[in-house]
Amino acid sequence: MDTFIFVLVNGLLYGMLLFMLSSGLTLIFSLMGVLNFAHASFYMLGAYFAYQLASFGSFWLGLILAPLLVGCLGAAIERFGLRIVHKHGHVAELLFTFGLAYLIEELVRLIWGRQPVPYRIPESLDFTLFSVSGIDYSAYRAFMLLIAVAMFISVLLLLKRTRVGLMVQAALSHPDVLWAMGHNVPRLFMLVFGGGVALAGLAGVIGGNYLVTEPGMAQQMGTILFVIVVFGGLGSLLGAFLASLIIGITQTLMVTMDGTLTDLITSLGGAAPHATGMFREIWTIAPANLAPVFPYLLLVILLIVRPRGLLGTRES
Amino acid sequence: MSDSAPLLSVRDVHAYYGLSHVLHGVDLDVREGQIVALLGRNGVGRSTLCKAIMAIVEREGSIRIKGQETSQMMPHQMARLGVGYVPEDRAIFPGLTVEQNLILGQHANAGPKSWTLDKVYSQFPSLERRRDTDADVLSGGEKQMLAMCRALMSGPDLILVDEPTEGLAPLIVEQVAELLAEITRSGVSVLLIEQKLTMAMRIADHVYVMGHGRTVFSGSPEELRIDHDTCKAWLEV
Repeated sequence: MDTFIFVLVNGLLYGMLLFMLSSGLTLIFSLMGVLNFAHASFYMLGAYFAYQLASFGSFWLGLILAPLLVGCLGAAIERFGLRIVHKHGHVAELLFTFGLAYLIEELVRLIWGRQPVPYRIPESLDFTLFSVSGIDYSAYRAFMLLIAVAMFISVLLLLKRTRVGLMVQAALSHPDVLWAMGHNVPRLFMLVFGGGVALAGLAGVIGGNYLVTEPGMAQQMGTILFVIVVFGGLGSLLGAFLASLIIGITQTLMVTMDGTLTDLITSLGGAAPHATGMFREIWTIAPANLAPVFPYLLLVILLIVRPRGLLGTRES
Repeated sequence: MSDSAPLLSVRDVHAYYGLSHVLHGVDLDVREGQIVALLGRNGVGRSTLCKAIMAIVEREGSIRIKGQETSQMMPHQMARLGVGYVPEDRAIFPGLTVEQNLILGQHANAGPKSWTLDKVYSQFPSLERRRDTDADVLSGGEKQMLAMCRALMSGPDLILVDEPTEGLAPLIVEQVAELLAEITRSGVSVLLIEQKLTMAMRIADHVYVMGHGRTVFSGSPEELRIDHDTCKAWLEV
């Protein structure tokens, strides 16, 4: 039972990390209609900026400055790139963000090299916070969870309790009317784009040293990110939240499972499937090996049953 | 018509939706304290003219507000110059309450004529009763009142009101007419796009008729009434 709770908390942590990324991507898509293919690249930039700042000073400097730098870079890209491309339609926007993802990846390789960089967990957080049944829980994991929850509450308060939040919500349905009411909507778009990618940058800062900081990290995270926003329903923040948690928790659970699918079915009280015929090998696969495929399987099933995703309002 | 300089002066305005050329040289004036009605059949470009004035669509030509050329301005700058806009579909922000919709009507450059929440609620008690309700569930009439009050929260000198009575019951249409008359009495000019000719002709000080993307008639409501050729060619279905 203790192990299960540990796995659940780890799954929650991974899910919240995914939400840090998917929330920005969803907000940008809802507001601007831009499916930002380069979103995970800003996550990678957050990790590299934090690594660089940590090598100059301390991890804490990176924690504050790296997301700000990523946000400013994102705002500049929106202002001087995306806004100009926007006039030529969504296909041009998609191609722009697609190209941007490759550009950022190549620049990262050029500056920091092809190998992983030694971005480490700060010493002040590198200790065991508590142990239960011989399992250690690190202080850094608790710190990541704290940052993720704080970010979630901040975004919620910003959207629900501030005037800027009201403007964002209004712009979701009638941006032109909001603009004609005297609010500078292009500037609002720039702020949302900058804020959204800053959240991705923050995820990179706290996730880069927990996972690995290397040039392929954006591509790895990017595919799972798109699964989440489509699974949750394009444009739905709550959907992205639920999808992040579902995928985070189930993937973590599967990774820690021992045995084969047959063992899993019998442990749940089911009858052992007949291991004969063409697909008999399936029942000997370990759930841990299925974990990387599971989100995509879930996505395919959901798209057949419910094309708009969990909480989405549109189908395309 | 008064000899004072027009509050809004539109000269040879063209507007486009992508490659589609919708307005073909519109001329129009709105003077201080006037209700000017813009009449015409569906699809002649009246709503597009509103959007062109607000800079929401691509436009060419001269649009002056209080003598200031605005053809290079963006929508928020038009609003801050004192132009309010009530769109055809009311564009109430769903998911926001009645009060949040009204609050968004205020902006940094709100003028001295701006309505307050207290004024809105004293005029429309039903909006006060539903101040914390999702504005999207209001009735059509309430939504129209909310959209007009929201535009007045910024204290405009001129509001563009696009088809305010569309889909409303006769009693509510009268309320809309009363509100428009009151707005004008408080010194706000109105450019009214309206399909209900009787109502528009009754409250308007000046009338324009549009056809094929340009203005084809300009005169008083009385002059239009006796101009049977214009009525037959451009207004009758």
